[in-house]
Amino acid sequence: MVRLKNRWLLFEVIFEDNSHLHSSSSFSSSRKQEALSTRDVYSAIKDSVQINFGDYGVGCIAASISVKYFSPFTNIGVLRISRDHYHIVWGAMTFITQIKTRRCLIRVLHLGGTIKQCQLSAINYDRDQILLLKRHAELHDDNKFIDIDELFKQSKSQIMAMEQ
Amino acid sequence: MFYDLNLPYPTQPNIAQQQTELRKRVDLLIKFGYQVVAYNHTITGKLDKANPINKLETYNDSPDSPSGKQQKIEQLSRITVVIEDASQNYGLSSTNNIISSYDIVAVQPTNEKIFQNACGTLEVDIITLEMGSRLPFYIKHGPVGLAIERGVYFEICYAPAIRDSASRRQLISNAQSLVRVTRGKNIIITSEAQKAMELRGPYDIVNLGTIMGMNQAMAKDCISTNCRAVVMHAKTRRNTHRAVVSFEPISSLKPNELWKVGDDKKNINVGKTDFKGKSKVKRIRLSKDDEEEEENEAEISQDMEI
Repeated sequence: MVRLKNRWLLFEVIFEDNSHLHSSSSFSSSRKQEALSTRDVYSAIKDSVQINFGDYGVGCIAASISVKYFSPFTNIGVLRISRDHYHIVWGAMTFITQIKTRRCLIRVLHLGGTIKQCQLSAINYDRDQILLLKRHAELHDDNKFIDIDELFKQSKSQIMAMEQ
Repeated sequence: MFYDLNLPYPTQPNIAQQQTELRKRVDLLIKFGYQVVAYNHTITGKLDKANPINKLETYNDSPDSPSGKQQKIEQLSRITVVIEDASQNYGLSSTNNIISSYDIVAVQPTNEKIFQNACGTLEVDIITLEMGSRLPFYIKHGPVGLAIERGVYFEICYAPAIRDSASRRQLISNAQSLVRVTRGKNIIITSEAQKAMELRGPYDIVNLGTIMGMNQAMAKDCISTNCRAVVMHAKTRRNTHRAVVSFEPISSLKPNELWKVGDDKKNINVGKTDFKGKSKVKRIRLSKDDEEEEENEAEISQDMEI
């Protein structure tokens, strides 16, 4: 028996309504907007596969696709798909222009063979975003910025909590 | 290094809204990791207006990178001439001042005869076709082979595929036939995005390329190496002598390049090309018939552009 091999996609959702420069600084503003859940992202991707690749595409991916993680704060997520069909899912994600009622685009940040590498690059990405936030806060003399180390820890523990 | 060689320039650049929209798009391109962008100005009919493209000031104040490094993007200008009538003379030569004020020249042929003409003779860098709608003719091996030989590139714009489903079908079908005919050579993929939300990241485009029938390496070349070749092609067309030699004054040399003229800093009379300067001219790989002309232009001190 050959074991089923997977691909792990780390992706980012960029929304039209918050300027992308502040895409992650929207800790407060995206709260007002309806936050997306893992389920919303999953169904958006599946619908897009249905539209672009038809029944055949959905059939191919249905067994193996699962969205393992999606953070409504940083708007990044991790998705698992069997190795033979990852290009279908990736292509479908490229064609997404809207999730629920919010216009957006999806960009793949990392494509890996194991979940570990995706987690590591997700942590790296989070760290960059937090540092960016800090620089923003400094530029605008915003003193109420929270402890960064605390944020680092939070993001790390959340991402590492993902399971195969 | 990733390139996006087709970002439509606003038709009325004075309107603030269009200007911010352009800025949004460029900001997003930087975020995605593109390093070169070309603003596109499309013209149907006569070339009579001067180049309207103003490059945005560099992004010095962008706090986008966490390391605090400056984020820069190289900006080019490009003109796309839509050719509808083969008999009309569009003046597409580098002697035309309007044409040579743009960095890149593209043509969009609208029928087969003009397409053949564009592949075979026109002095351009890019041949673009409206792939979001049905093409009025088949793309044939003959002219395409000629264009590949001449180093002219074909363009696929992906934004129509993101806009709506009907043009997505057409684009995939047209792109696949183009890839089949060219065997994946001499293709570039560009955005043609009217809005920021129509842009995609470089690796997403590589994956899109695999859907259009290329393999990953070919698709990656379409947004990097091939685009660089287009820019180089444009450069050699514009300001070189027979695409072999170009001239630059010694004063434009950077301090670390001064060894090329066989001298160090203090002896060089910056900005002046007097008789003494003439003797410092360095001649690099010239064939005999070029030599004579060389003498005439030797007043300008020269350096080879690599």
